[in-house]
Amino acid sequence: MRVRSVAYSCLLGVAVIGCGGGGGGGGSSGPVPGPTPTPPPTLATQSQSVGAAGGTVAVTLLAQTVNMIVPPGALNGTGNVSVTLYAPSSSPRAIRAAVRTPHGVGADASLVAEFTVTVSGAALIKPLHASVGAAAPPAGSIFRLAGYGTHFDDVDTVTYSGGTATSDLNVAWPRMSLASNTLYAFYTEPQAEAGSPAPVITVPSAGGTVGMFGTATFTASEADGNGFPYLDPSFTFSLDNAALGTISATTGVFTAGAIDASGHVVATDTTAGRGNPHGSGAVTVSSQRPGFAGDAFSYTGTLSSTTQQTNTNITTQPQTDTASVALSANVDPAFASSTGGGQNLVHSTEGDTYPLQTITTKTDSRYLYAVNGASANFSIVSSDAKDSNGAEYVDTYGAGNGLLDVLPEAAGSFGPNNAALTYNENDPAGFTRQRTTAATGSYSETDKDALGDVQTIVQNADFSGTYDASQYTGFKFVVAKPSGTPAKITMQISRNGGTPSTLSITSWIPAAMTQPSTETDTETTGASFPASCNVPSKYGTSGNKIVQTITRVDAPLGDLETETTSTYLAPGVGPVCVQMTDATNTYYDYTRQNGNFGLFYSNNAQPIQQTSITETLTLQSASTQGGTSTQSVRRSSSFAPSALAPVSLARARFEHVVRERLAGLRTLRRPSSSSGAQVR
Amino acid sequence: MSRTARILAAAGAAALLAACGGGGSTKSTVPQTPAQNQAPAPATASTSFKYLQGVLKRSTSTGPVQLGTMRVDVQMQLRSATALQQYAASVGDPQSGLYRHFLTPDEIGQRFGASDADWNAAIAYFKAAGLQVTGWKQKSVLRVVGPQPAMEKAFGTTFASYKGPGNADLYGPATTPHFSKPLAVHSVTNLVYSPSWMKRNSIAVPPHGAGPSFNYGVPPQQLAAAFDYAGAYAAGFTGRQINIGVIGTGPISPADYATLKQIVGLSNTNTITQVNVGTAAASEVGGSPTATPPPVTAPCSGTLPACNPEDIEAQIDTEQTASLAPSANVLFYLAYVPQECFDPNYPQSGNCGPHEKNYGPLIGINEVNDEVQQAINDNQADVISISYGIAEQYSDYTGQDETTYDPNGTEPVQFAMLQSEGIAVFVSSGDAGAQGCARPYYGTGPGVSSPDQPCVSAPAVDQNVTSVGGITAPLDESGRKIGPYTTWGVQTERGFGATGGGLSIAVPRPSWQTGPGVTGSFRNQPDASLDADPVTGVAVVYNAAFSGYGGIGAAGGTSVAAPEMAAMWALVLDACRATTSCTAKGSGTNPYRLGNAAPYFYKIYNDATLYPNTFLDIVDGSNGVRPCSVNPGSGTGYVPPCPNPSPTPDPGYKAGQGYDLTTGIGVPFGRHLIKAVVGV
Repeated sequence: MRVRSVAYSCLLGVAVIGCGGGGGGGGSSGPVPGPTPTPPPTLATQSQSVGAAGGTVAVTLLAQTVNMIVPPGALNGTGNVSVTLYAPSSSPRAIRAAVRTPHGVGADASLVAEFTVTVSGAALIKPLHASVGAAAPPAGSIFRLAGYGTHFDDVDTVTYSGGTATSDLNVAWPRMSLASNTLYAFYTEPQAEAGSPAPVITVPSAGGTVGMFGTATFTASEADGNGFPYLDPSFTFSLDNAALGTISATTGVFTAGAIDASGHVVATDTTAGRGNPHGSGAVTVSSQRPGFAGDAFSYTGTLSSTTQQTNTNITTQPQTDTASVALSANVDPAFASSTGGGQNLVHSTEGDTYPLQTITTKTDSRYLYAVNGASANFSIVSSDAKDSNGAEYVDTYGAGNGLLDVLPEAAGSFGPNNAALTYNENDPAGFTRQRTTAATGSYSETDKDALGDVQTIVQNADFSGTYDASQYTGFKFVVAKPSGTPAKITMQISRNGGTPSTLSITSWIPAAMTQPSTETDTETTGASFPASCNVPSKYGTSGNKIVQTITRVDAPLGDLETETTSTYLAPGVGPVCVQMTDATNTYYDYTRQNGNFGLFYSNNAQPIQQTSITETLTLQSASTQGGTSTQSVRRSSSFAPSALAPVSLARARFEHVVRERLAGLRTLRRPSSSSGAQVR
Repeated sequence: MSRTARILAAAGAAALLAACGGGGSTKSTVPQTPAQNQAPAPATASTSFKYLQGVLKRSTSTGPVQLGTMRVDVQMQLRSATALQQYAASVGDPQSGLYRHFLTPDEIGQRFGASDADWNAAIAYFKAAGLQVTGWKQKSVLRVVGPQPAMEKAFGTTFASYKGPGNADLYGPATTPHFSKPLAVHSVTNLVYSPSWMKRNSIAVPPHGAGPSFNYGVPPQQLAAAFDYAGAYAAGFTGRQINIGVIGTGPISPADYATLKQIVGLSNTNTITQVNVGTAAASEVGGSPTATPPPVTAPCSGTLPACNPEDIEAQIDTEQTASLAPSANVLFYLAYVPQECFDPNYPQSGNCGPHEKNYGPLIGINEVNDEVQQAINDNQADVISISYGIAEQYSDYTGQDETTYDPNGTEPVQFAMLQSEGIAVFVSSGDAGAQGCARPYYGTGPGVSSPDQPCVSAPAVDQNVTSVGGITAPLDESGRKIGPYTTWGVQTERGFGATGGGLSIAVPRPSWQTGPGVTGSFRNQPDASLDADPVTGVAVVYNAAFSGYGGIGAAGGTSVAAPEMAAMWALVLDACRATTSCTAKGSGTNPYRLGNAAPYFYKIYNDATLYPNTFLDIVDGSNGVRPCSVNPGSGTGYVPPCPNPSPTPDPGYKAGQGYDLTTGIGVPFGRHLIKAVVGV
């Protein structure tokens, strides 16, 4: 155990004051006979000019000589190197009594020589050697060179050979050499105690938590166990957890991955002979899920819907209503998300300003950011959209549905989603609608009005179904799956429980469809942003593109719908443009909008009404990572977005619009005294 | 450049309309009226007068008739009917010094009404004949009620029954009627009458619960959202301190509005107050106040007071106005006749006895002139909604010869008086499409050479009212369009239904009715439109207090559109009332009144910027109708059922860009209308 004092001893072959006898002398003073002997000198100083080529400054006190060896290049010019060698107990400071941290010299050490070095007139840029002529250390002991600076202590290993102990120079000493009042001491101590201290490699934290796909540069430093730094390490960087992301082995530049993770950056000194010492620094990757609490986004765009009746009773012109859209969203700062994924909550407010109407919709969408191996799935979990007219839609995505993106993004298909979804609609005036859709697109719906009367709609996976509006119009429609060649849909219509009549309707359901709902989800890299997006130039002109296309058949209600969501993502920015379209062909009308009939239907597979809805949202500004980044400029990362949150809200918002539109062509709230079905 | 164009050009695209800016030359404190500037022609007393005699020439007498109690309206000769019309036009003209210098009923009576001598002489004459006489401050009309013998004595004739055009039952004088001494009487209404002629412009279906086939219609919240009443509400304009008058066509029950609010979840706290005609005005002529009506009863057949059933038209009007102007007070004017008999099965049964079987008065609809007179007298309503009509040939607009405009006719006079008070009147344009004369009951005659010739309905044709047509408005639960907005016409017709529209054959086109699509020299109608198709009909509650008879149902017709627009105008007046720059242009105790809305509509229409930002142009559909009902079971009453196959509809008029004779200039949107008219 090391203690914080040094015991001086008389060393063999060295004339040491206090070790008895006069004899000897030396240095600059000669012997002085007579009754009053001259006191032995307590120090000797030798100064000399040394150039960049190096040199040696030797100083002798009594019989002891210390050589300061200035290697070539150690000085940046010609300077003066002054070495003072002290007699035992004559050093300017009380080394033995000193209490020093963090290192010290063991109590079993024996002092050999003490000296100071001062360099002036030039800068020391390389370590100096020191050597002292001395007797061999006792058996089992070795030489050491200790330095006691103002700010640090250190001990260097020393090689003893041929009566000379020479420092190893395996540490850098510039401060030892230059610091005022730095005192050095050659000493011996038992070898067992003075084993070479292990190098310590330090990897400072590079800013703590790193955001998803964010970067940080890690550095390392190496010192011996007593804190003396190594000047010549050769570090190689690595990660102890691959989920963290990637790191450059040579530069230490770390790029965070897509998911929450924690681990270490490891720096290894590969200098030959050093035994590959290594150290590490902690690093945590916090995904933005993908959005930090407090992130805010601002989008503008257009929402346009076109509807046209196309039947023999009335063919209207296409009627288009276009609204300008302003959407703002923020990631709920108070919503408690779980680490390593979990849900986040995004609030959005969208104002749709038509020439004659303004409708504001507030949507809360929850998304899930779930680790899936080295990737992460970004999915919408649910949304609750309520508009200024009081209509509220709550969508909850079922297992296997809602996937919006897979990170890191890569070209190709992903998913695909299935159709599992439940939604609850609450409208002004007390109307409610509940629909549960299974993975195939089959569904069961119950509608209820303020009086408590209900109608039910069921679609089976094979396109058969029932529309029971008995409590509203008295009608009940039972739809069989398409059959025959050419395919026909048989519909049985009964009223007020009477004997049903049968219709045979030319099938309008695409033969290629095997279930009511299908979806494809694909990613394209290097996609140019379309001009229709009008993406601000600060976000670049290209990026990744996600296209999700859903084809739905609603057999009992007579709708064939294609909904496409195209999301363009700028590198390092996120979704800069979302384009959504929904095109629906309607083949049945239960509302009498196409004539006074309980059912008005198409019998030639041509729609009686066509509806298309498109919405484009373009990012105008964003404040992300909790407000620390404005995303005002395109970042250099080639990775995909840092904040995907707007994707979830855009999708949820659009669904609200589409569901409202498509809910119209059914009979609820419609008066009737119809004579039954009528073909177009 | 037309005057209107110059006005608008001066106002600038974004400028407010005349209500709040521009126009107003310096007002004199005592405006000089045309009546004061011109020496009114002295009233000429005569024993003869105008009455609807033309139709009698085309009818066949079927013998004497017993009518029991009769009621006629005696229109006095005014000091100057022309001056009254000029004044009415001036108060609606921003370029006139009289703009919005509205008069009180007393001022109207003094300036334009009958002279005191003429007025008193007529009262004395009818009272001497044993008839009850009621009159009002404006000294325009005397309501004369009494037994048939007394009426025959007063008019110097007997009454006979006739078979008129379209096989309609009517009664009229058997010989030329006349007074026994000269009186300054211009015309007498109801000496010739058929209950087939006058009709409510509503089409209602049985209420929910009355049968298995029906459900309720569009609740007020949906309409409010669809046509931007909601935007006005959000801006604080809800009809505060505005009175909406509804000209009653029969009894209402206060339970119904309360039930509507309960079912659809309205929190309106406004009230519907019934104003019984005659009670207040009787003192003007010293007559007896009309008796207080008995309680409303369940549907029934028979006489008062035991049978006093609700009138669905009145329920529609009061519920629509009250629910869509949630802070406005609704004043329901009802002329009550103790001798009235109700026969809902007319003409199949005879529960009211032989004299009532064919001639009514049925459910009070032919009392409407008295109710309007009461509204003029009271000067309390700021807006009035009227939902009935009659072929203009059978109205007071053409009167005697069925073709010549009569500005001293009861209806032209009374609406000019309302305009002079600043009261905006909205009248349904009719539900018979281009056949506003309710074919087949007019048939052919002067000005109408063919049963298929288009004709229009009165009083929608008046120069001082806003004629309100109807559209088909398929809405989603939030009030968004889910299908094309079209003219309410043949594509969704229920029975005889289509929006009334066409060209008057008699009433001159007012100077303010200008713009692309406006045609000819006669009044074009309608002026504008709102939802009217029963297929997209509104929720109405009736007979809620009588279990098994009523509940909530759907109703349509331009009778729905007129109160919808009256309610919207109440919001405009609320905005004006709250805006100093708007009231500053007004006068008197009601400076927020703007008079007839139609002139403002056309000013907007002729402003290329304001129009598309205020009105939605309806460009699809037509108002052609079939001369029969395609609605099985609905052939009773007015329109016979169609044969199979159904005849081809008349072409009617087609909707198109800009003004057309189906929906006028289109559909106003509440909040935007306020901005356009009031500027806030």
